[in-house]
Amino acid sequence: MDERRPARASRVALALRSTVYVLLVVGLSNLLLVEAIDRDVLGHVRSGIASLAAAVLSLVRDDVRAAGQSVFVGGSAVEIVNGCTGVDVAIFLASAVLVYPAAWRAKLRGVALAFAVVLATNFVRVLTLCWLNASSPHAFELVHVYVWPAFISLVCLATLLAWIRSATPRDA
Amino acid sequence: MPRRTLLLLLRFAAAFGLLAWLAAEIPVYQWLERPVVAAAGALLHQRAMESRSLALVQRGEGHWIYVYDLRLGEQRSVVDRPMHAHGFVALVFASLVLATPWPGARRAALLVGIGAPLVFALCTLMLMSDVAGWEAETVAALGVAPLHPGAYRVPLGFVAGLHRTAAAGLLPVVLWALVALRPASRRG
Repeated sequence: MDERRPARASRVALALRSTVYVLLVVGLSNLLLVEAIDRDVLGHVRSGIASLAAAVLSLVRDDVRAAGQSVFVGGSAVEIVNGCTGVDVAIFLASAVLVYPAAWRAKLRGVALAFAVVLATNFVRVLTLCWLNASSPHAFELVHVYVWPAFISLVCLATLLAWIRSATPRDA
Repeated sequence: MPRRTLLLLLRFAAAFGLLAWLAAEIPVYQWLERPVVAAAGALLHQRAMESRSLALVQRGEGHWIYVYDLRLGEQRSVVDRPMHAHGFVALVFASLVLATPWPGARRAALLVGIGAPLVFALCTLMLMSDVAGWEAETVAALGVAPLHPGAYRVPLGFVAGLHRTAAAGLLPVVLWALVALRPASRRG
């Protein structure tokens, strides 16, 4: 009977962590919908991404400009909306880091890693989508709906696995 | 990165790649969306002088739309919105199941038995959150006072954030990672 106790405790801890994780992502995701946060924080993130993407793309094309939260490439435009910032995905990943049993120092490192990896990956996503929207709308649809969501899921999973590996103390 | 983790990621990438390719070639997302629409439609709130219906219909080659029909007394409004691929969450979940090293029949059945209804519920809630938003827009456009309780009796505010951020596909990924990589219980 005693041998079953640790396994049961582990299952309870897992259920608790999963519940806290869902509550955390639901709470934080809804926080992004608060008008003041959207206007004062996310608005700047969206226009910042648009400006930076236009600056990078203008290195290889002449017909690129940013206006507010949109990137114009040739005759096409891509508007950076909340789903394009990567902040939402970073919140999902950072929340997983926060609920995983590890030292706080490791958790803080994990949260920083989550935001850095997701925001960098997302920026590459924005660049490719702006480029494809101007050059090949069919490819844009395919890459936007099928390729990038899969790739971002993969990057998040890899980041989480790598962080868990680095944060878990190894037995001698 | 250890070889085992790398293999796991490669299996996940291969499974998701295969399923995403299938979804691009054949209407997988439409098939997955039908039961979700049926569930969201069945849960719509109906009462005297108010009727609501939700359908998924094809409009042109490969173009699917939701049709939300709202009748309030004498007034009627039909809202058309492009289909959203909520089935993405199901594809992610299926890829994780396929990527997981064979856990045995009992555990695999448990994994699918618990995970599949949760994925279905998440997709349905996301669509219901959309429908509640369409109703609010329609009611405002018709110049009618906001209805109580609206399209659904259940509060859906908590799903709005998940849905609008479009990152809900990560929920099964992270929950799976928490299950698969939970610290081993110490045995005395």
